[in-house]
Amino acid sequence: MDAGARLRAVKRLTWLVGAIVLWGVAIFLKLISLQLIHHKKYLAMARQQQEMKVELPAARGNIYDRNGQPLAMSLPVDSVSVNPRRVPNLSIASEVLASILNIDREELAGRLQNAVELKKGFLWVKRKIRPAESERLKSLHLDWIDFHPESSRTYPAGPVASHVLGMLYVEEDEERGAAGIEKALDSELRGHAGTERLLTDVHRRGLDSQISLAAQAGKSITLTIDEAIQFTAEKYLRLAVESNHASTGSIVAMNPNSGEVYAMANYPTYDPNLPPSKNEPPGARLNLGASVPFEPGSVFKVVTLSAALETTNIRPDTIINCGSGAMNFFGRVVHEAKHGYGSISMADVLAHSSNIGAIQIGLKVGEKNLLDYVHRFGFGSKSGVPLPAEASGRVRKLERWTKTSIASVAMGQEISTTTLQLARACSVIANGGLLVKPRLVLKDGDIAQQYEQPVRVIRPETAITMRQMMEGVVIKPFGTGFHLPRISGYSFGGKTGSAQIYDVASHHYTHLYNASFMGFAPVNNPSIVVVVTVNGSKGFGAPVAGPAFSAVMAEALRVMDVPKDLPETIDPKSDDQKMLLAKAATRADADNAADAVMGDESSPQPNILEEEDTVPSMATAAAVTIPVAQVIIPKKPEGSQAPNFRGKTMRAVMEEATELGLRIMVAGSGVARQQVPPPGSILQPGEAIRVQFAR
Amino acid sequence: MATLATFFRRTDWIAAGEQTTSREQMNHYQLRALPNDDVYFYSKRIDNSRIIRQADPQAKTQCWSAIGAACLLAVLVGSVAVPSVGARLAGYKVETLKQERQALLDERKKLEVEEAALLSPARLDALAKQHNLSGAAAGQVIHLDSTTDSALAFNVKSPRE
Repeated sequence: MDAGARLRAVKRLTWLVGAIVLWGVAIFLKLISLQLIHHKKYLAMARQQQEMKVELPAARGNIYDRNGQPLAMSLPVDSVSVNPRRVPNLSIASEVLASILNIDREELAGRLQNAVELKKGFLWVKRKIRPAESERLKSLHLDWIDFHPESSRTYPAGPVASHVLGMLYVEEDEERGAAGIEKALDSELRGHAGTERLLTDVHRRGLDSQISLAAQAGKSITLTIDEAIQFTAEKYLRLAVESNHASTGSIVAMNPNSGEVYAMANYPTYDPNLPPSKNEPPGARLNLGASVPFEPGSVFKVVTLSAALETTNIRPDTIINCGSGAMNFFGRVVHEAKHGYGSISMADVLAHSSNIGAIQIGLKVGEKNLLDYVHRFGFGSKSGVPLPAEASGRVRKLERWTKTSIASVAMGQEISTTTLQLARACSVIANGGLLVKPRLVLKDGDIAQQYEQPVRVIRPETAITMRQMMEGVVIKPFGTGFHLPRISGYSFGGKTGSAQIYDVASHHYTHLYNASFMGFAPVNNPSIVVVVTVNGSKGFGAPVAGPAFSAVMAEALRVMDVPKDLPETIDPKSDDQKMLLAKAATRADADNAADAVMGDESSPQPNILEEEDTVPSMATAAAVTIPVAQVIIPKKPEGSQAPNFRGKTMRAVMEEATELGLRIMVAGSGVARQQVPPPGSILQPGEAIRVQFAR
Repeated sequence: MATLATFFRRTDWIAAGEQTTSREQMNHYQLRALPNDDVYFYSKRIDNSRIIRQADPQAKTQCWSAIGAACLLAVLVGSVAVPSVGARLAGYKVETLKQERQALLDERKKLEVEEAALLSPARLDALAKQHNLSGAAAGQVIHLDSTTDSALAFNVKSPRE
């Protein structure tokens, strides 16, 4: 090789090496750019390509009844969105989506077109689609359709306990409680959604995942509600309201010792699975039992008499002068419903539900003491149950009382309470004088809720005396609750009430009543308290609210396995038959009452007279003589018919049997509770009547 | 060295083919000349048939060492690559199982809701009515006597005893 060729070769090699070095430098610089300068940018781009950010939904906590039966659950569902910019053909896309998701094609096409024009990159197509719809859409493998995991609230028992559970609404793509426990315990029930980074391959198949933010599922809540008792309460409340042509009603069943609410039923009701609609009755979503106060009427006499036992020397056998049926009190006239009772014992004042007797007792108690005991029984303040719209009721301050207020309050007027407050007050009598806090939540997550120590508000002996007097209401033949359906195997006590409903527009009391019954069973060791209120009824407490009380109490006693305290009698009639009989009785009583009301209406004065277990409204008119309604007294059994010994002492039973020449066999002590054969039965010659006594 | 220019001037080289052939025929050891360069190559025939390869006692060891080293390298590469591939495959499996688990949990939730709906008191009450069943009374006891239906067990003493 000559020198020229060698030089050319060396030059070529030099250029080649230079090019290679430059190439290397360029690669090195590019690497610096990629790895250092634009590291974050390319990392983000790589992640966008290789990683998917997956939202980990936090399921809302379930709500269970006390036996673990689910009342509210959340199910995972998908929501569908599209990126309008990536949709290849709007017409075909809207056609496909509309046919699968059962939505209007034109409307969807319009929304898509609008989104494209506005250059939007996101459009919800349909939220919370059904699983079948989701599967069909996913099978299309269209990359412009996005699925978002969400949850849908389901209430498997439908309307059962709907007012306690409440409902949800969606705010900022998140479910929030709108009422009931769903609202009150929203923070506990609502979880916190998390995120996960999912590394995918070219086919978008998951390779690896890393949790960025762990999802926290909402806590499950276990309520004190028993689904079976709740259902029975709702069933019989509906029957009671509809059969009496009333407007609304509520029932509360609770344990008087622990304050656990077993049932809180309201009518009208609603299905929380369905959104609110115009066809719903007004107030269907209101928890009347806890949120809507009303004048309690005669059931409030229990408070008056308890205060009397505590603060005065009045005892159950103390004679109270109830007069001849009318009482002029500072210019206002108060009447008994049917006739005057004359001088009767305090126990009989409660059994008759004498208005004048209650006023006389209230006057002896005094305004200050009476108001004190009203507060002691928990009226005028919220019970503390975890419901968002609980009402405290209304109790006027002493300074705002008028001269006649003491008479009104003694009978349950000029005061407003909720059904829940009445149940709480009845629990004071039932548990021996302790004011318990009603509980709706048994467990918050896995943690049992603390039981708050109750407060003693009356002496135990007062509570026991009141129990006996309230039992007299249902076992004494003249008691206002005597005709209540019996609860086989259990003694029970209670108090009826029928408060006239005040019409705010006309400033007069109407002929519609808040018919109520509050009671407990068994008498000696009460385990259940039930309060029934039926609003807007033309009937009265015992016939309207009584059958529902008996049915709910019987179911609660059965479900809670409360030991019996009386010999069992099997009633061949089914519950529905009993209810029909009760309906018939209600109508008969309503007819009788209508006669009494007609007599009032013929008077030029506003009507202030009520049925004997009802509370009259106050009128400023002068005293007038109100014709006493005719009282139909059932004829005593004659000849060979078995008399009714129930509610009578052993001495009275023996005397009556001797007088009638009947042979009796007695067992137990106290008052007669059961007899075989039952009253009215035809007695065979020489047949003995077996009478069971119990305290 | 051949350049591209000379490479494309192959026509001249082909045209001179006869002369080359005649030259190769003249000298059997002369190889084909590089075009346009004054460089000539010759091959020399050497007969090595009588040469016997001398036995190398270390060659076998070296061979095995090379094989061992190759194997070790393969194992090392494998030990690095296999876990990675295994992890990738396991990742696929784990993600699939996760999805399956979630699907099963969702399915269980749906079944729980279905079960709760089937056990709802309203449905049971309707079914009971269909079958003419009545609600049980509290601690209901069936009193057995001679008038009771014979289908029921008779738990009282028989008259003979």
